[in-house]
Amino acid sequence: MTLLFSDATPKDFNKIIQPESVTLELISKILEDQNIAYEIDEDVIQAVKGLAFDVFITIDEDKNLIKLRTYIKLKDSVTEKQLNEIVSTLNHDTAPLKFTATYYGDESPPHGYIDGDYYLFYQFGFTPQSFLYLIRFFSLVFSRTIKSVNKNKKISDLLSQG
Amino acid sequence: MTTVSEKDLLAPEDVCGLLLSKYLTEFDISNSISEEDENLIFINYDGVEFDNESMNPLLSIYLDQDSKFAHFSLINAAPEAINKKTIGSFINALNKNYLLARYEESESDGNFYITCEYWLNYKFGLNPLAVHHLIYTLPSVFGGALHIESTNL
Repeated sequence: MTLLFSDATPKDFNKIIQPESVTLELISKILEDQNIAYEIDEDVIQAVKGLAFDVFITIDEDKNLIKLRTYIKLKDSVTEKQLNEIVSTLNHDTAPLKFTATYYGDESPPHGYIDGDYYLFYQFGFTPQSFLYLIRFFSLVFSRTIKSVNKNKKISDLLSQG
Repeated sequence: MTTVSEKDLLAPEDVCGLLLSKYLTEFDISNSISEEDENLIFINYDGVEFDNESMNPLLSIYLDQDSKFAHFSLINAAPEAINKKTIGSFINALNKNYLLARYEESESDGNFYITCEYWLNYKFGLNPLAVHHLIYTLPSVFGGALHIESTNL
């Protein structure tokens, strides 16, 4: 799997960012340097262009975790049982993402989402290079997983988008 | 807080079971390398007391030399109240409500087990301190999640 970095690599690309320096502004700067377009909504960065799938980035400073998250909506006809089965299959077959089911059974019509998460643990720091690799890897694995489950007719019939 | 520099990282091409095992031994973590696979390390928690009395975890770390992820896998018996009907939603609740790790179920001889997993990437270097920290953090996260979620059964 080849994940290319932009030629515009800053000098400190391989330098460890210490945990106390990790902020949304710093993450935004890393994305900017690599021409990954993003939007910021309060405490969430949404990387929207330059990746295989949109990625939402949040920082938990207390626990030294950066959460990468993405999702896909399922058709309204999906049941909670079907959704849980799909998610269980994905968690058995795919690493390193964590798939979870979000189901709104009380809404009309009931509908559900498959969420994909990965937590970057940074108590001992990380380099911009490793962060960019992970965000691209995460997005690509999610995208490939959705494409691959699309080959399963039983599941693909429930996906809202291909 | 420990300040880490680039020189603390093990180069990805040097990362192997033998080297990691050496570091873990220096950290006084009892460990052994699998006889079948030199990239698989087992951690022995003998003598470590966990807050949750029902925690009796087995931890393995697999160094995937292709993807350059260190795969931490921790297995523990599921709470006694778990059955075939409730295991699916229990696992989804663990995955949804608790940070960091991913949870999966397995069944053997009618007994349910839960695996707690985390993948640490070392494509650009591996910090032995991070491995050391995860060895103690994961059982704590796992035990806490099992305990809290069990009360909802």
